[in-house]
Amino acid sequence: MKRQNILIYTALALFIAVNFFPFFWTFLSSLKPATRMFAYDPPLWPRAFSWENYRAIFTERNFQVNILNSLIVAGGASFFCVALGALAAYALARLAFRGKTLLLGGILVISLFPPVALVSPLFLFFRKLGLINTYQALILSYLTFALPLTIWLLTAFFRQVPWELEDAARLDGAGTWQVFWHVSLPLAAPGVFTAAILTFIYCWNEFLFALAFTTNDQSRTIPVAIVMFSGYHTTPWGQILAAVTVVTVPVALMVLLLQRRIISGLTAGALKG
Amino acid sequence: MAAITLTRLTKVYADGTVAVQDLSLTVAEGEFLVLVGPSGCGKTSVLRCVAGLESPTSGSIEIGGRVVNHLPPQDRDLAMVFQTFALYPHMTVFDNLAFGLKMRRLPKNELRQRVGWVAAKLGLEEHLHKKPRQLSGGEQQRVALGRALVRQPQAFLMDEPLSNLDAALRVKMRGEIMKLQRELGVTVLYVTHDQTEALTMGDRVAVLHQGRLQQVAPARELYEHPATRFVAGFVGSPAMNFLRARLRQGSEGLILEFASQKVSLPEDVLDGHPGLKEHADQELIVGLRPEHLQPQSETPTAPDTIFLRGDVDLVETTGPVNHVHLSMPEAETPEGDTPAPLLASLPADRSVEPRQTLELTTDLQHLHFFDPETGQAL
Repeated sequence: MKRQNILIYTALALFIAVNFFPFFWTFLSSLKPATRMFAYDPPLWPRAFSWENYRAIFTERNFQVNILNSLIVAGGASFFCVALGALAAYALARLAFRGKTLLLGGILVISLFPPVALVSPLFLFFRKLGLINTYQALILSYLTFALPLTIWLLTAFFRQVPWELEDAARLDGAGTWQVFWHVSLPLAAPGVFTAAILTFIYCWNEFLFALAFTTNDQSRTIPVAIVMFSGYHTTPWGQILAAVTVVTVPVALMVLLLQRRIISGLTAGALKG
Repeated sequence: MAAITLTRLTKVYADGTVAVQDLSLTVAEGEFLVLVGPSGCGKTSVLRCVAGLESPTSGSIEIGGRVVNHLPPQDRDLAMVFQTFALYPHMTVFDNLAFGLKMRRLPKNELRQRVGWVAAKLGLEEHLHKKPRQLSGGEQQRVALGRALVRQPQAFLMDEPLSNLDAALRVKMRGEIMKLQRELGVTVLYVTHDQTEALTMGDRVAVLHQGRLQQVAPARELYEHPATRFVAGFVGSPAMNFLRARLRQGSEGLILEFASQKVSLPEDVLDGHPGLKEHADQELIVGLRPEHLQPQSETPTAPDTIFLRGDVDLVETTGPVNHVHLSMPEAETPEGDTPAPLLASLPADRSVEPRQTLELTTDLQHLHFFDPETGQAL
């Protein structure tokens, strides 16, 4: 028993070390002065630290604008995705209507479209509407890809809410909206959180649409902005690594804080509670 | 409080299942009416129609003299207690109790006062801040009752509220619900499949079978004068025995032939069963309650006595009485099979062994007679 434990912990430690090393190295390298970045035979722990890269991205590159853009786009897309997705999923879970299976299948098919195929038509579409370089363009295009997953996830959650609870609420005097708001939605909360977080991460990392639908530094989101750090002749690796560190931390923190909710969300339906 | 009146209620589901057929029934103001029947008899459909969770195919539902057919459940002012309790798992006991009042926008201080009143009445004060899953089954049941009581609705609907509790708790909660109902004088329509629950709790009991109302009467009357063979077999435990018999017109009156004996029916029996005279020279079904059978005594017997002989198959001991299963080679079941099974509840002090032949007697007055075609009592 004890020997088995040691084995398991050793394996886990190794696994974590291997997985965590790139992030560790990114963080350390971002703190190295430019001259030490490409030193041959680098020490595991640098002798000198410098915050120069961080100062540079926030003062010379206005990286905070890109962070704000990403926060607004990812936050807005997550909010609308969950709000619309929850309503659609509730209807799909509770109403009996003709062609429901077909509709659910159709929703799934939408999410299987390769984004590359949609970039050009969407670009033309947004340019006609004058939406290039706006948050709306990104939020709208992200919604189309995040909604199907959200609807599927939340439909499963709403199906698990016992009918009798809704009957009880109706007899207690609640109308359809009140039943949804006070009983069904709170009980599907783990699903709502999971959907919101998955959508947020998807939007936070999305590159292709963000690249296509933004043309100036002021409206770029983080992934595109970081790529644009590179000039014709130089690539400022230190600054790129500093930016990567800055934008990974909030997502990692959010996932750590909400991981219990995410896990209960992703495994819901696997076991009957 | 208000009366509930159902008039010719019929419910047919989309798949063609006829759940309730032409049901007319009134729950008087302040009455505890139990709707009982085997599972699938349509009793829950009736309750859901009254609640507004299902809409009836035809017929009308009145609450307090107002037709409510087209009102949604939230506007009918009824409270329902569910078999699964259906407590809101994400709310505390206080919020569970207060939910209905919040939905009706009751002022905060009155809301607190009413929840406090119900919590005190049901002994839930120390649990108000807990979530339902932290409570025992009995406590959850009390919260479910409290959630109904706190609303002070027109009437209460209860859908097998005790069937999720263990046996001892069920008996206790049965008493508590009855006490509360008498004390508050509320109208209750109570659904159950358990005939003991029905007989002990209801002011009146309505027996439902295959969507049709069989009989509505106080418990005593259901037991003594069942209107149909179904009611006779459903009410009472262990269930009534049924045997095939024939009625002959003799020179001195009607003669009952069954289990290889002929008994002439005296006037008082004929008066008690007016339908018998119309069934002269016809087949009929005789019903005999197990508890009305006695072991044959040595002393001479009264003239109205009936004798039955059977071979003992099995003896079940319950304490004060033994349930003795016999087969009677001389008798026929209503379906015409021989030997016919017979169950007798005999005092436990009388020792009975399997394979022994037993002579039993019963009084003519205790017999029930049914039409074999319609199942109606004669």
